[in-house]
Amino acid sequence: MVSNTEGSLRDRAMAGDEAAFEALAGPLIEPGLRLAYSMLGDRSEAEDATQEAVIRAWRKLHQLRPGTPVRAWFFAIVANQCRNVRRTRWFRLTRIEPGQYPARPSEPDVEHLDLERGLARLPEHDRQALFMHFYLDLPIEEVAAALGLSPAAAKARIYRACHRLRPDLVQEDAP
Amino acid sequence: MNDLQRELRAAFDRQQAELGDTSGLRQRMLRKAMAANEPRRSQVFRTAVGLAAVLVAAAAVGTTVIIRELSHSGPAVTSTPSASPSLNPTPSAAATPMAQTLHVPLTTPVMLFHDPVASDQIDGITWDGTASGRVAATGGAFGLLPNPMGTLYAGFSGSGIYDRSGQLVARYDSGNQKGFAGWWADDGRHYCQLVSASALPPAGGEPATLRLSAPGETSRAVAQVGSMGDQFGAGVVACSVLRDRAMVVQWNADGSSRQFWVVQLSTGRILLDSARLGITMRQIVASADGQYIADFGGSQGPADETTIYSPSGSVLGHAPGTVQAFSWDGTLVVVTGSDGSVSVIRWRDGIHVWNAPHGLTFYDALPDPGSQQLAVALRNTDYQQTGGFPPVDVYVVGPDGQATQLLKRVEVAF
Repeated sequence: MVSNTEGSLRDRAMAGDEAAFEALAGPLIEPGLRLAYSMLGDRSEAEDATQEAVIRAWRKLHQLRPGTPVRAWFFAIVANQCRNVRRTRWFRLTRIEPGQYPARPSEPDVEHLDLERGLARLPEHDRQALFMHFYLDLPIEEVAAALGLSPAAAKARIYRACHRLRPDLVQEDAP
Repeated sequence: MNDLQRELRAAFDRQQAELGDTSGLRQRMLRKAMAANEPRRSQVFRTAVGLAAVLVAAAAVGTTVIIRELSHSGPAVTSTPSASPSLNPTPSAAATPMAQTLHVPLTTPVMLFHDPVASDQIDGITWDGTASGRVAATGGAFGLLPNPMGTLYAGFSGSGIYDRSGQLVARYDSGNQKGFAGWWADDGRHYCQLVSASALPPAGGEPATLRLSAPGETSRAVAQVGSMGDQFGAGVVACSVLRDRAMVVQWNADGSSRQFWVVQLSTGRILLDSARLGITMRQIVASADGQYIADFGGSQGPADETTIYSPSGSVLGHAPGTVQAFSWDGTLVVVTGSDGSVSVIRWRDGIHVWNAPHGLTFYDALPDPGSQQLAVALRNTDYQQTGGFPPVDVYVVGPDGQATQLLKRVEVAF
């Protein structure tokens, strides 16, 4: 659902109003960086990917489908950019196992370690869905839009990922 | 789940703590984006503004015309298909969901679709377009699966079966939550579905069971057939109570077909197992009664053709391209070519009955119960998807090649 305010900002931004674009995209930059960091595990790479996403958003704003939330659209650009980075030979040669998190400065307790290991073992797309829904607080519909899925598929993906992390979850607890 | 949510958030928090200070990033990135785009800005903005105006106008026009057309008591759209269906737009101040309810006998077949304004609302239209209206105000957001007549539909959330007034009339077996593995039977009452023990089956798979449900009847297990896995599954592609059989297909992880079975509904007996015939399958569809089974690119024909089998496994013929759907009686098929073209052909003699307007691509098809008509839903790249389902145009094609564009730019529910 796109609010009137967002629609108005988008129209103004498309007409070249930089302030409108700042108001629209500015609040999304930090969460976008966090999403990129969760996917790339490297601050420098995450910043580059987010910067590229901001540039693309500014250039391609006119391609945003009417009715699509800017937030989901922007996160989709960030995620695509990160996937492109991960596909590069340089990234694959210099990075540890895809999806593995950076080394921790201090040892967390066993329970935390279990969950983090579980997260690291999840397929990348499952982890993205969890991150968007539980950390960035995106509703299912926006997770779906950002990942290019139907809401039902996004919901199923999140539930499946949760179940993999905690197999003893009962079915009725699905998000 | 709440505990897990908290733990996940905490885990992500710990991970994100590594990111460090992010202050100042926002302004820096915005400034860089503006600067990077500076040389092209004036041209881009002119284009953007023009394009945006066109898109907004097109969206408004499309919606308006549909609403107006669907609000008429006469045929919704009666234009014959052309390469670029034309509209006579009449701007509307504010589009609203269809308000009037569908007033036709409950036995009259209709097509169900998501309301163009409110996707959660379910609307219906008769095959001749003479009547349309609201079926249910809510329940469509996550998808639905109507029976061939559109008199009942299965809702995704809640495992419910609803009638055309939106009333819950039964529940189907919800043992498998992976989605719509179900298929409506040709009597329009029974619902065939494969279920497995786990909502999330293991990687190696587990046995699946074919179940039959109907309003007013206890759901029963028919047979154990196929398997459900983490990355693969099985589903029903035809269910015929009238002919006492169901077709079950096993899919690979990439969605291609691996094997199919013909199961007798009354006894659970496996009447045919493609593996025992040594047939390699690839992409299977079947007629509503299971009398004809089409497999594209399998071992019994050229890679670019579809082979059509009888339920006993004998080859009945071939069709060029990929068969996507059969007419109710199985004589006509909707085929797609490698170039994306969409046609309706009579597969016995290969005669082309109808060709879809150039540039539109196949989305789905629905046979008109009891007739040779087919509804063909086509995607148009000019339509932007704004909801959970892509907007399509729907053409009703008769055996004589006469076609009527019944719906334009709607999200269909078949």
